[in-house]
Amino acid sequence: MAGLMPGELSHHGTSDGNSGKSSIEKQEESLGRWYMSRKEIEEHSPSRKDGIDLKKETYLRKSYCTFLQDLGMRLKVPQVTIATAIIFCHRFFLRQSHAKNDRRTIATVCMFLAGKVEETPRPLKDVILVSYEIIHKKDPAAAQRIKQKEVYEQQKELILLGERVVLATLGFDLNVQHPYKPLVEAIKKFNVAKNALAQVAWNFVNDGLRTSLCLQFKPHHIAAGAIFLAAKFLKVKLPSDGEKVWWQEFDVTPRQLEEVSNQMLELYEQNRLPPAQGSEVEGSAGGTRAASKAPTANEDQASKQISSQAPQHSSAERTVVPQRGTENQSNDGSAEMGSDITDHNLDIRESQNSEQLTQQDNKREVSNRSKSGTERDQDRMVGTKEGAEVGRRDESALNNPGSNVVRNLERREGPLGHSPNEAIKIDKDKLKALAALGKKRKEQRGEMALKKDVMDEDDLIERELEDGIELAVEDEKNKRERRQNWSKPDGENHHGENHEETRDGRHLSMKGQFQKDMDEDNAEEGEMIDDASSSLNNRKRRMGSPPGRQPEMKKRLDSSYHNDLAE
Amino acid sequence: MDHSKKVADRYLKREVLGEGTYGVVYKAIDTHTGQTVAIKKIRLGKRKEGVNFTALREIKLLKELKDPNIVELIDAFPHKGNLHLVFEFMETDLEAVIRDRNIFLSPGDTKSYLQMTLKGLAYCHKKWVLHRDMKPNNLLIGSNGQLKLADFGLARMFGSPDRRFTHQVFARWYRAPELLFGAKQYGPGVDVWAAGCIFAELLLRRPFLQGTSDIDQLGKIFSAFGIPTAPQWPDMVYLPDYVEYQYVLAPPLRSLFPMATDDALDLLSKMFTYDPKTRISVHQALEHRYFSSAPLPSDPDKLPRPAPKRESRVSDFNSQEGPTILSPPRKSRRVMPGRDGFEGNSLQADKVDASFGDFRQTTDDNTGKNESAPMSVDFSIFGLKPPNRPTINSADRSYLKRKLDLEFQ
Repeated sequence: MAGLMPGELSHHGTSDGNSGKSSIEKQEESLGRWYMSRKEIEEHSPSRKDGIDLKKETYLRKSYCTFLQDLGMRLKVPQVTIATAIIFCHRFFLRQSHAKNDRRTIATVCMFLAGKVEETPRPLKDVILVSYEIIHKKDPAAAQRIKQKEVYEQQKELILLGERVVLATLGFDLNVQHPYKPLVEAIKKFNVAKNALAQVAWNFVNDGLRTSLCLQFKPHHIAAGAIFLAAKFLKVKLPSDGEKVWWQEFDVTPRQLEEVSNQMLELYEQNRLPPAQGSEVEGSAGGTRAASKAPTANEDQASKQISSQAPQHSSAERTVVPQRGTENQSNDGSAEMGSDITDHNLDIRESQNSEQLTQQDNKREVSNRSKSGTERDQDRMVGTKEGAEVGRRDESALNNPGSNVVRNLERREGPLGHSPNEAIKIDKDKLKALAALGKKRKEQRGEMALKKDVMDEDDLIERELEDGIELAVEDEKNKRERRQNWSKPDGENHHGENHEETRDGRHLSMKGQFQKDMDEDNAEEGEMIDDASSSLNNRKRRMGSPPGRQPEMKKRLDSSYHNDLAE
Repeated sequence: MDHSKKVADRYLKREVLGEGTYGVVYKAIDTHTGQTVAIKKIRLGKRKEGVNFTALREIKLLKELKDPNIVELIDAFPHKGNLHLVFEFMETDLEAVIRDRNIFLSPGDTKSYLQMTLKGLAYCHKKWVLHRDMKPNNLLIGSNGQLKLADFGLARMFGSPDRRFTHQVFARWYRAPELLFGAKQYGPGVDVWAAGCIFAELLLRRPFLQGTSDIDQLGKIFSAFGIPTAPQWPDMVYLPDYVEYQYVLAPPLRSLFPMATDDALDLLSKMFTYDPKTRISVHQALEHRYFSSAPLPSDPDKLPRPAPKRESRVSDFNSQEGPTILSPPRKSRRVMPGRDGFEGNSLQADKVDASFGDFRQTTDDNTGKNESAPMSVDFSIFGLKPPNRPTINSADRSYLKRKLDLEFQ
């Protein structure tokens, strides 16, 4: 842990001069203040000044997201309300430190507020009781304690005061857009596996809420990333009309698509080792382990790319996985090598050395990459950086310079063709992944059938573990797919122009469709529910509660109201 | 709360402009910009459910609605246990213009006010927002003559399937018949009906359909436009609170609005179409030939202003007091709604005479006086002055409050 301090200090020393955005409209300014780059979010968070490092903050973010998902499901609010509450919470901690604001109190306030904002209000009493139960779920006496008037009134004052603080911190920006709507609108236009695709993409959107993606990208960008990942997961090829690629309808650039997809996948990488329950110290340790894996994974992939022979590549992949498992289980985190020393073990050692270098000095890491990387790797890294720049400029709507940079990128990426060998690799991997997914699906169905209780934090983490294992396989394929995208430089500008022409039309048709397809929407939701897993099935059922249930809920709430009157 | 104190100190408080359901509205100066603003102070205090539902709704929607004909929400901040909403300051409202007998509204003036009303409403509907409280004193008028929609505390997003809304919205005189029949699923037509009532009020210079209860409101609607027939409004019998009324033949619209042009009558009839599905939309209304035929709508900055008296200068966002109608009681000519035959003709004559009476009064030097009258009294019998303009009355309000607090969609 001491070794990390110098790196962090150097990070703090870095100053990023991205200030001085000027917007024409107030509305743009209002929206703009809630979007910033990942670097800004990670390096300039208010929590950083109070000694909370990135790893702990990431853990805290997931913690309050899990809490809000649970709270929302118990209060029986729609997913949109839960999503709004999560975004309120993200934005709050973009401006306020975790050290001075208990995350669960703030999360409770955000749920109470989101309920009112999204026209799904829940009585304050219900919000407080359910929240208190979740926070103190391991304390048998808590359920009784909250019913004491003194304890309840104290919680109530805390929430009411918190509401004002949250509203002021949010600048009263209560309009929140979500990826769900653009996601559903887009998938309607596809003719392939609509329901399965929508369901999996919906899952990716929900999981992505636990990251800071919604503070970096607009809802339609996130929707595009979710559809992209869902298609990979389901091995569905998304349609292209002639030369037009599906994601161009989203007004999203390849770099944005790549960035969103990568960050969603990071969620599953980091969650292979669940954070330990209990004290904050253990949580922080878990975060440390999770974060330390990311560079390891990157180095492994780099070493894989170095080896040029397919058979060794495949065998390396097989042997690396159990090694990682061993590494994860050991307490001190040091790997125990088998007696059989092979080239692959040497690769693992090299990655460990790189990891240590990463911890010590960023500059050395950069130089190390340049030494070990081939010329192709260098080109790829350069492309990635420029892609990030393009993404930022696109966000700020500087079209002309962006398009110029894009053209340069297109030229550079041209030479990166795919050899017949790589095509063969993709096919083999697909077959393996398909078999693995088949097994996973069977296991998941069995497990889902057993689980009937509302999922708590542990269950959600287990599900993430399963998803992570599956998606690790997908990760590699995504990289190859991205190369394919880069190898299509021609006509992008042309497609962009077409897109601008059709944008207004699409919006108009979207509104019209939205009204006309009311019945169709209901039917589709029903179909999605049929295909969904049992847990999501429950969620869907709650979201679109049948008419029979509403009177019941109304009665319950009315009785609650009458109780309030009695008080 | 150092931040909120700094924000509050930015605004230099001036006189009180009015008091509404949820708090006081007062005039202030923004010391940073020199701009005059109106600050609506919403009491939080011991609120049982935290920040008021309607305040959050107003903030959320007004942050989304930016249009020349919609009042601008400049800022919002909590201070001393209250929530403060900062609006652009507006000199007066349409109600003050209508009831000011010193003001003569030319046909172009009337056209201009209606056009600005419909433009603001068109923007709302384009953004999938129902206003649900359209009435003259929620139509504010700035120093440049621009008319802007205000008070979005009852506004609502629409367009989602199966969203059920409360029917207890709008002040009664502006409530559409489907709402009076208890409809829970409705759309922008309810705002169009209210805008039609405002149009009629501009023409008559008095409120058009002054019902004293929901039943009475329906009665007055049917007296003016006739009992709706099944071909006119096929779905009406399925509405929750539908009741059958005795048949009344519709009098000619011109008899109700003798001063109006043919184009105006045509637009009015389309705005007062019974069936919400066939009622004209705001967008279509703005394209009606009424607005393109001569005389064209007056320029906003040339519209007449109310006299600069202290009383009429008050711009009340949530007024609960309406104007006193100054037309003298005509007991012998007043006819109860629902009767037909010879008495129906008498009703028509009474309307015509009332209209002429209003015209004569434009030369009087009287300003509106606020005198309360019991809502339940039938002024035509006792010769008392007609009741005040209703907002949502106490029973409606408590019901509405209960609905808003507990309703979930």
